[in-house]
Amino acid sequence: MSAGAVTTGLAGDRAAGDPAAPPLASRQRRAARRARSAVTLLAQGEPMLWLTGGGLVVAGAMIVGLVALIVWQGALTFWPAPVVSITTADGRTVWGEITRRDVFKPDPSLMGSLAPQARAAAGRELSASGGRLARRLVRSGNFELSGEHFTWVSDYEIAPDGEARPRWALVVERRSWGRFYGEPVAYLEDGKVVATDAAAVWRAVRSAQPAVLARVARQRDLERREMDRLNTRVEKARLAVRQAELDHGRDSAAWRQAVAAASRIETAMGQAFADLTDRIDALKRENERSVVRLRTGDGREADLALGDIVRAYPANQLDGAAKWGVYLSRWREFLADEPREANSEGGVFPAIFGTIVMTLVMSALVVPFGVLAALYLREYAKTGPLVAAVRISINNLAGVPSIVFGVVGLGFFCYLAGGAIDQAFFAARLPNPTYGTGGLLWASLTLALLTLPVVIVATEEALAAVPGSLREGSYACGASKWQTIQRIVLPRALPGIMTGAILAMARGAGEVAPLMLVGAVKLAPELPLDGVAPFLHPERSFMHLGFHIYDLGFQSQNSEAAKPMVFTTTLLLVAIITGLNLAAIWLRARLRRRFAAGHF
Amino acid sequence: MAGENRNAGNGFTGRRRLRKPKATVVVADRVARSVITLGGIGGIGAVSLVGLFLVYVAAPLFLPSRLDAERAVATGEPPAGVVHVAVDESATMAWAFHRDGSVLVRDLRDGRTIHRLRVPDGPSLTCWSFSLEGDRCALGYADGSVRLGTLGFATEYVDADDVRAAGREPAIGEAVPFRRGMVERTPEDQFRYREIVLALGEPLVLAAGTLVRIDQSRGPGGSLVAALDVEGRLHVGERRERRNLLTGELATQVRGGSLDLRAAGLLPAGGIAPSHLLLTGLGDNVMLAWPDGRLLRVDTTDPADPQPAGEVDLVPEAGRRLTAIAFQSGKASLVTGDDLGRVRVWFRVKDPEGDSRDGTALVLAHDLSGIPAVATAITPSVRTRMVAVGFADGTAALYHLTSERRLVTVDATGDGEPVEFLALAPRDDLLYAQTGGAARIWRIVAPHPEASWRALAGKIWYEGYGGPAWIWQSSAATDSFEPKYSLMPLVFGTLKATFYSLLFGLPLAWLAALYTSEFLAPGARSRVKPVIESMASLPSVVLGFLAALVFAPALERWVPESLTAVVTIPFAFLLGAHLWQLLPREIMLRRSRCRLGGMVLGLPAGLWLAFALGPTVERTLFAGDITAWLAGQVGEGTGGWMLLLLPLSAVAVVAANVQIVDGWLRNSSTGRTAREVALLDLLRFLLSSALAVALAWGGASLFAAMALDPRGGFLDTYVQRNALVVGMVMGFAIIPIIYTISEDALAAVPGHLRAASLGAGATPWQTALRVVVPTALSGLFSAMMIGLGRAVGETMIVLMAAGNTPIMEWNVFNGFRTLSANVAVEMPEAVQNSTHYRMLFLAALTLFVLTFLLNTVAEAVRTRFRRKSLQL
Repeated sequence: MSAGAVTTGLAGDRAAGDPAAPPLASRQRRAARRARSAVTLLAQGEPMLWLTGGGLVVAGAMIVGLVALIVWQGALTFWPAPVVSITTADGRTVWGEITRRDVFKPDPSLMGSLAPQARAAAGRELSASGGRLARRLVRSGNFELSGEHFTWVSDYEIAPDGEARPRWALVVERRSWGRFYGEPVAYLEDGKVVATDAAAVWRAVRSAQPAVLARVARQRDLERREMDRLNTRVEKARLAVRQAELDHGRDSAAWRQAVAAASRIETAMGQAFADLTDRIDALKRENERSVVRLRTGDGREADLALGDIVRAYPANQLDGAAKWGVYLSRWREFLADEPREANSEGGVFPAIFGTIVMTLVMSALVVPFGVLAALYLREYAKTGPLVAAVRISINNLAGVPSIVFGVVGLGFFCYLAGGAIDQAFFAARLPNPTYGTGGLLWASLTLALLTLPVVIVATEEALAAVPGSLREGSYACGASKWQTIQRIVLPRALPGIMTGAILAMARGAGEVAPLMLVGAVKLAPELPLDGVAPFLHPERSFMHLGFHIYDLGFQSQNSEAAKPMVFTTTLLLVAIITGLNLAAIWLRARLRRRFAAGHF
Repeated sequence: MAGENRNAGNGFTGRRRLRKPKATVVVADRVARSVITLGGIGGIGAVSLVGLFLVYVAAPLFLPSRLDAERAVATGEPPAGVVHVAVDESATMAWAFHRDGSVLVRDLRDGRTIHRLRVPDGPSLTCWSFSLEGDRCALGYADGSVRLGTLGFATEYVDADDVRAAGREPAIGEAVPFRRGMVERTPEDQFRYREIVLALGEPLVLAAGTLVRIDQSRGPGGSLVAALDVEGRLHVGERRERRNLLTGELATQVRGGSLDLRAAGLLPAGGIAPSHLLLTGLGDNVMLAWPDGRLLRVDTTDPADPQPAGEVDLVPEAGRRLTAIAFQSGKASLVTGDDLGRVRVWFRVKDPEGDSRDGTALVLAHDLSGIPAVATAITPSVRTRMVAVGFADGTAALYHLTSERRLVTVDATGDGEPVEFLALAPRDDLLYAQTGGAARIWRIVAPHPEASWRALAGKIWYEGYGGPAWIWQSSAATDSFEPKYSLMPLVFGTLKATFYSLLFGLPLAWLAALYTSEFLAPGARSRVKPVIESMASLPSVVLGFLAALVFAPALERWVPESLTAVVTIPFAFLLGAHLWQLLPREIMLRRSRCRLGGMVLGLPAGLWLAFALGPTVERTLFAGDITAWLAGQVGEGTGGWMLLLLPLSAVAVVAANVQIVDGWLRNSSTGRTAREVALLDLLRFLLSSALAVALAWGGASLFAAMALDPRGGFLDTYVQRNALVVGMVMGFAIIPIIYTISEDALAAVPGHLRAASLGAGATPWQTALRVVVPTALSGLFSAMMIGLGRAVGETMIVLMAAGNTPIMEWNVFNGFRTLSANVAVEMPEAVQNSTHYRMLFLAALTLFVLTFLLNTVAEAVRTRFRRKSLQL
């Protein structure tokens, strides 16, 4: 094959060579050429080729690795892990779930401080692994007893046969204080021991749990909805007083009337408050009647009221179906419930809801204006240097950092526009801002501003892709300009416009930086859309999945416990955005097919 | 036309044709036109509002300051014996302290005296000092005793009925005399009453003789007082008040000491008393200033044992005199005025080499010259670094000391008389100047005195720092804090983030784009490209979270491995290529698709190599512990130099290969089989690699032998959230956009160019390198610019992974703070319309302009490229 390459090379050279050259020089040149042509290998640039391919491989590997990491971590978080019992050489016993393993370089002073047995084990391990020791992070829970949620256990510390999976180890997820690990020793009803055998206790807990959970739900409903209703009425009366004072002045008839009404309402509500508190207390007492007594790994006992328990399961006895049950129930809780424990447990429903409502309001604002602007630029404006400049500027605005839009949103929408609205319509509530601070409306408007260039550019491209011949045909049939746009241009451009809109939604859903300034908060128990008139509350601040990730990862007290939640939230956000992008790609493909079919 | 239409009549369909469009159609057309025009222009206008609004908010930073004349007040008789004047918040009242111990409160609207009081009778009053905040005073007496106490305006809210009962009914915003002071009706309809309060503590005997100078400060534990007696002895007293936790009793403890200046030879010949005595805010220094400019510092860190700590000449020019001196708020910086009209700021800085007792030295930090008249009065602001200075020619000027600006000058007296007293209202909004029997009041309009182009971009010497520096520090716990608004550290951080992320992302994106467009089979290409493109929409908060919580800890654990991987991964690819060449030619051609599989293997191979070599590298180059090595605790500079020199030596070896060895290889391969040539090439590659390493090692050893240490520049102490993490993750974030645009540009190179090149005998690689890339160069450049724009403005990744410390060093293992992250961090806390707020808007504007320019350049280049490639 090499020879073949040489001959073809020579043939080519001969054809190109100068026939009139002297024979000696010609032979020398030929030799030189043969030499050159023999190394086509060098000309192939194989190493450089591999380097460029390497760039693609590295980029691709990073992408695949990243997505795999998110999916793996996010999907595995809720899978129930077994509870291990680890007994160390110095007699300490830790029960918990192993969250991760790690190797570390020990501090030189460590070896000196160890007991002889552990030192020997550590020394063996050190020499075997090249100066590193293995350790594992155990989620040991029982915060009120141990003062920590997680414990590091080094391998060398573990006593021989120190690892076990206790059969009756229960994982208890609680409303506060994090998880609890222990085995059931007694079930108490009204302070009297009803059952002491582990299996019997577990049965009793299982049978009592549905009623308890129902009561908890009822209690939360009372606390949230009923309490809210009462508070709203009192607040309304108070505002009416302030409004009357502003409108008519102190000591006016209207003001006195309002004061009288307010005091009437306050009295009535005071009674209602007392009733409500009684009902809530009754539910609480009822829930505190049933108590399960658990013994922890280190032999201490603790009483847990069933009302505090969200979920409990004997981790080491679960079969496949039961594991799936726990897994799915956690996902359900994650998607449908509110966060607990400073957002590190529970669900992210308010964040999902906030993200969706914000994105929808944003789309409702951005799509009409984006389409109008694109129609104007493409169909109505006279083409010239000005329109070209505007077009380039809009293109460039798509590249302006999102935080800049956040700054403008805060300064213009929240402070300027919101401040003016408060002065004009919500003077009674001042100095507490109503619209004069971050909120759903301002966040949506800011993101609308941010995504407007995306929509304009996409729509313009879609409009430009409609062949001029179609327009001309329409005009020739006597249609007016608007009729042409409405019936010929827009339907053809619709998939392109929708692609743009979806891309804008995807971008808007994933932006966090501007939201930090204009209304996303770490906890907003009141949803921006609820059953209280006027239903949509555009002034309320809201939770957002992206901001939730930032907040959990960076502002959380217990960041190790929050980490799994961050991964799950990330998975959710990435899934939403990928879904939106896939929809856009699918639409684009459809658009292409349509044009391939219907060309004039 | 119209006539023809009319003649046409009914068409052949038999239906009557409309000659004119229906009214509804016409109306709909008009409505649509106006709606679209309005909506379109509105939408475009809304977007362009972004830039305009940023300018609108940031611009007031640079508006000039001004003084609006408010009113003139005749104070009646000349203020004989007045030693101190202060005004209240709204400049409706002023109190004047007289030499004889009387205090006169005047209504500043008509000059009438509202109230008059005296310090308690006793020995004759000989010296006095008043705090800048206008609430504390210290009085020294002829018998050597001092009294500390309160003297100033106190505010309380009074009942409306009380005011009305006194026959007063001020309008909202108006103030009227009431009781011993004035009452003002606030906009919230409350009655704010202000009166003078004088409360002195028990006399404290400090000295045996008459006191001539006194000053006091309030430290964390109690009050400090320093006084000089007529004999030249400096007395320092510290009064601590401690409340017994059990009994609630207040125990007062006084301790102190003295220093005989005369005996120590520290008084000038003739024994002239210093004209000023000043006690620092912390009470650790007493400063004595003489009219000739000499300043003596006495260390009073231990009040029981004052010791001289150094001298400075504030006015070195012979014959010139120090005419005014005062402490800035916080009592750390001295402001001096002299008869050359200079206003200068001095403060103490750490001076370890100096021989002063307290290890500090008083240095001249700011020099504001400009008015050729004797400075007669200096009044610093309570809240900011503004200072009002009065001159002998009747001029009053406002200065901002940090930004070294003279904000505004005004003729304060109108008749050339010297300004005797100046006072600033506590909120810095009113200036009061008094000469003889007349006083004038100006409203100060200087909302952002600390902002100037110099303060933004230049080095400024801030209080307490060793020298001028670029510093961003917008807030602190104390009131007397000097805000530091230099955008330079933030701009630097932005550049650093951009530099490292481009360093990582750009080569990868370009190489990947080149391979995709030129060497990947079309089928694979249509699958690979969307995958990489789709990464552009990955929310940056996700990347930031992964960077900070996954990559940063991982990188910290595997520092040597990661550094080794930078070398071994390309090495693995190159090695793979050379091994591939060893395959018989037919297989190489037939199985060219498997090449990608081989490349995919290259990455794990490179990583494996890195992890295998990592510990060895750490042991041999970084003394076994790279973190300690970077911190400068162990080892020599060889490893670091090697790290820095390896890229250079690799480039040198490649250059040598191209220049010398390639030609030789070509000549010597005559008549050899391709396999032999490939073997030779492999040998060459291995030797070159070894040579590159050896060269780097040699250079590193040489530098290390010369006792040069690379630590301190690009390599320094390791911090977990650092530029390397940000560079990698943000580089990853900008790969998709650079890749897409580059790939589009490469793919847009017309196929006939490739065909021609290939037809002329060039290999695909030669075609790619010498035909396709040069043609698409402007497109590649524009991709880089757009990537640059992305990196400049990226917020969440740097916010989460960069540590956010606004420092200026290139160290790849340390963090930084970018403009965007700074805005995100500080904007929620910035008070609306404050300097800080506008400064953050300026930062946002900078980002806006920067990205807008970058994108415009990129767009222009790309348009040109498109036109050019169409012509080809």
